[in-house]
This record gives sequence, structure tokens and C-alpha cells, in this order.
Amino acid sequence: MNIKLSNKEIGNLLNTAARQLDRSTLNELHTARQQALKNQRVASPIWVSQNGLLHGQLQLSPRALNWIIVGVVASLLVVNLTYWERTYERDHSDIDIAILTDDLPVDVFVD
Amino acid sequence: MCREFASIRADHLGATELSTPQQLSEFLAQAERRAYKQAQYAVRDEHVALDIVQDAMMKLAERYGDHPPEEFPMLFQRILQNTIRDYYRRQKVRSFWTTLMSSLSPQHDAEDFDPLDTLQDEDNASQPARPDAVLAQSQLIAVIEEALGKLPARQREAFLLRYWEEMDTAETAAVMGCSEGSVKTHCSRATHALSAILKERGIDLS
Repeated sequence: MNIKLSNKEIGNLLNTAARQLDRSTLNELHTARQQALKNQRVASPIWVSQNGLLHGQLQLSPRALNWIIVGVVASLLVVNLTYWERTYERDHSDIDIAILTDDLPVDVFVD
Repeated sequence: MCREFASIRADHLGATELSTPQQLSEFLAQAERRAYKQAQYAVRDEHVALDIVQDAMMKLAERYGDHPPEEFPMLFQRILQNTIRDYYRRQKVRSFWTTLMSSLSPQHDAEDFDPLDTLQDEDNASQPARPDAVLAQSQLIAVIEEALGKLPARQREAFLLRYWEEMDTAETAAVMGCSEGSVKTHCSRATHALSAILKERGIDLS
């Protein structure tokens, strides 16, 4: 055997070998393909209307969902802190006004 | 309204049109044979090769079945190569335990072995005669497949991806999870090794 081959020709010969698979192997490959297709992940359509709103089912990855949860918790925390700070300030200003107007209740002096 | 939606959706998606089951089916149908042969060259076992291809197909469909069809070749190759590597890892662990257990148990294998059990009946006269050209080609393919089987796994992977799957260096690097420089090195070494093996059989690799 004295033959000259290029890498491309080797590729072509391997293609020939792939075309010559026996019937039972082809059947098994066909079955495997059908099985895979039954489990194919299908995307839900997302429609975008003219006002830019999203309609339809939006599928989120677990990572995106985690970020959304973190965002919601963080914003709730910020709202709570702001509310508490304002309430605290208002309490203080009420006492200041009472001192200035000499209108403090007796309970303040008891302790 | 629906027409508006359709046109906006088409504009919005542009080049990244999502795939349909028909497109995935067509892709798998044209890729499955070569994938099987690749797995067979790597593991040298028909049943394991079939399992690997089935596993790779399933992973592609389950995880990336809704991706644009032009992404399928790269994704499938990456999954296939990872599945082959996983098999190597499992095999390594299994062989470790097998060696350990067999060293503890008495040896009878040499007495039980009969060469006739594994002898191939290649010269069987009852087989239908084939034309010379077909026979020569199948012999040539057998020599090449044998030579590919002798290559180290990474070199074979790089060679097959570059010269059989016709991927460029960047794509091959992405599939193999290494740099483009490594791909070039693997390919160069694979070509030299193949050339040396084939030369012994009277085939010049140019």
C-alpha cells in the first residue's frame, strides 16, 4: 500500500466510515434521537406590544430569580430604615417643641 | 394587532431566532453518526459510544433545546467531548477499584482465557464478495481508524474537531476548553504522530 493522503482526505474517509454504520447502530441512534426530542426544552413565546409591555409567560433562570429576591429584600430594608429614621426624628422634634413651649407632661419629671 | 406583534417580535429577535423541534431533529440526524464514530474512537466500545451519544443528545435537547439552531454544532460538540471526558474519569476510578479488588482475590483468568473466543472470522468465505475498490477503501479506513485510536485523547480530539468537523482554531479551543495555542500544538502533534503511524503502513500524510 503506497498512498498519499491529506488531512482533508482523511476527513472524507471518516465521513465514508460514518455513512457505513450497520443497521442496528442506526436504529439505536434513531431511538436515542427520538428520546432526546421528547425531552426538548421549548421556549415560551414572549410578545412585545407597542407600549413596550411584555405579554406571555416569561421564564427566568434560577440565578435571575435569586437576584430579583435579593433586590426585593434590599428595597424593603431601605424602606423600613427610612420609615424608622423619620419616626425617630419626629418623636425628638415633638419633645423639643414641648420643652420650648413649657408644655412637658409631669411623667417626664418623675424619673 | 397580531401582525404588529409578529413584526415587532421578528425585529426584536433578529438573528437569534429560537429553534423548533424540527430544526433540532434535523441537526441531530446529520450529526449523530459522526458523533458516534468520535465516541467510538475515544472509548473503543460500541455500546459505551452509543450511551455517550445518547447522553449528549439528551443534554443538548433538555438544556439547550430552545437555543438558536446555529448554536447547536458548538454546543453539541462541547457536550459530547465533556461526556467522553466524564467517561474517562469514571473509568479511571473504576479501574482503580478493580485493580485493588483483583489484587486481593486469587487469579484464574489466564487459565480461563481461550483465544478462539475472541478470534475474528474475517476470512469467512460465506460473506458476500465485495468489489476491490470498496475493499481497499474499507482497509484504508480501518488503518486510519486504528491510527486515530493510538493517538492521545486530547490530540485526537483536536485533530477530529479541526479536520473532520472542520471547525476553526477558535471554535476548537472553545469546545476543548483550552487556548488556541494549545489547539495548534495538539493538532501539530497529532498530525506528526498520525503521519509516523501511517507511514509504517505505506501511507504518506501530506
